[in-house]
Formats: sequence, C-alpha cells, structure tokens
Amino acid sequence: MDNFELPPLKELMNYLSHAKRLGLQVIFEDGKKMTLKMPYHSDLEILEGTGYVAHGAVAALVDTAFGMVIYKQFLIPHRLVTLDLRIDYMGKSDPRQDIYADVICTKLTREVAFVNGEIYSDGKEPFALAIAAFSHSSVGT
Amino acid sequence: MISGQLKALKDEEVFEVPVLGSPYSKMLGLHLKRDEKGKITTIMKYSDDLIGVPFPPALHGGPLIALLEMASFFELAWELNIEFIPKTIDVNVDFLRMGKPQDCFASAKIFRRGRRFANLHAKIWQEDFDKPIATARLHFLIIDPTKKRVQKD
Repeated sequence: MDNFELPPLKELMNYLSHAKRLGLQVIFEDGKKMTLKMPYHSDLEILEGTGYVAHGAVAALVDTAFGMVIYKQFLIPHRLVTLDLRIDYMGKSDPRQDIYADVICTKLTREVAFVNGEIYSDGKEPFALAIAAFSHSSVGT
Repeated sequence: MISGQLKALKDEEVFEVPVLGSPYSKMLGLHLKRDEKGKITTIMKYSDDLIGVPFPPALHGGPLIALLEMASFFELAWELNIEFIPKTIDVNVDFLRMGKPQDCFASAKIFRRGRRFANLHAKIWQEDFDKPIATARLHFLIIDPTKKRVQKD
C-alpha cells in the first residue's frame, strides 16, 4: 500500500473512475478556489425524461471538487478522506443544464481541511450549498 | 415513475428488483429488496465506475451519498404510501470507513414524521451490518405539491 505515487492534478481526473464517468471537468482554478463542471447528460436524470439531474450526481460533483481543491493545496500528493459532508438543497436545478460547483478551501490545519462550496446551473443563483471536512495525510507516512 | 414501481410491489411479500425509470439509479446499479421481515434495503451493485480513489481502490463518496438519499426516499415512499417525490432539504453524511470495491447495502429509518417535514437516519454497510461505512441524517419536505395549501408567512 505504501510504494505508489499519486498523480499530479491535471492527470488526477483520469484516475477517478466515477468522476470520469460523470464527465467532470476543472474549468477554473486559482489558489484556494476551484470550479468544476458536470456536463448535462440524460444518464444523470433522476427520473427518465424530466431533465432533472439526480442529487446523487450533484453530491459526486461536490465531493470530487472538494477533494481536488484540497489536493491542489499540497506540494506533494496527499491521501484524502471525507470525514463529513453536508448539502443543503435550496431549490431545483434547471432541467437539461450543465451544473457547476464553485468550491473554496477555507482552512487547512495539520490534520484536517475545511471546504465549502456553491452549486448552480448556468450562471444562476446557487440551488445548493455544501460544506465538508476532510482528513489529509501525506502518502507514505 | 419510481413511485409507480413501488405501488406495484406493495402486494409482494419478498422481492429484489432493479430500480426502474431512473437513469442515475441505473448507473449506480441500484436494486430494491424486501426481506421476510418486511425490511426494505437498497442495494448498490458494485461496478468499476463507482471507484473514487484508485490506490487502494475505494468507493467514491458521491455514489454513497446518493445511496443514502435514495434509501431514505424509498423508506419514506414505502412507509407513507406517497405518490409524489418528496423534496430533499438537507443531507448530512458522516463517512466512517473506507468503501471496499463490493456491493453496498443501505437502509433508512424515519425518526420523526411531522405534517411538513420528515427526519430520517440512513446507513450503509457492506459485510457487517454493525460496521457501517457511512451514516446520514436527512430532512425531507413531505408536502404534496399537487395539493393546494394556504401560504403562511
């Protein structure tokens, strides 16, 4: 379990099977902030034909975005584990629209990373808020 | 519709069926099971697409949150016999153990059902029911959107 190397950020998405399956893309990154996009696809619908993306897919988007923004804070690869994650759904997303997650790493301590984010569909007010805490440890220690 | 499928299952004592009419549930490989004791379990069949971290392979948090939410929805829809989709207000997930690359089982319990809101606790386990890999608290709005109501301020 010890002798492996974690990939750099740009290649990271290719290693995350589920993120790849959802077609997630990093469209903005700067310091402690990052934006991920989840392109609309009919496979993501919660009910066939309605165009509404499942909350589960939104959760996967947020969880991935949190992981990636924290991953980026370190110079060497770190192993990240989600401790807890909360999502508040304030409304509906727009049907058949791409979904975006703006995330920010608010605080990094020796053991824990705190993150929060807003989720919205094309240029609108956020329809969901998320907040999470991750444990981090450098690989091999 | 998912609730239509549930209605059709009401007459059956024991069943295990894939969740129909929901493309995302299909992607996750969700199945709905009812055992001899009448307990509803939602199963997420393992596939490589569910992996988050590859070294060592662990399930992605997203599908686990989705499973907790779907298990809660099925419990609500089954117990309350509702035909509309309740709105999720919030989901509070605690991740307790790494998700191994294998099937996941989830069940939910209604802790409080009020007139407007329902509070549920859900959990996911793999090999051992007493060693959950994730738990969650959820709130749902259970007002039927097709029924008119007087707006309160």
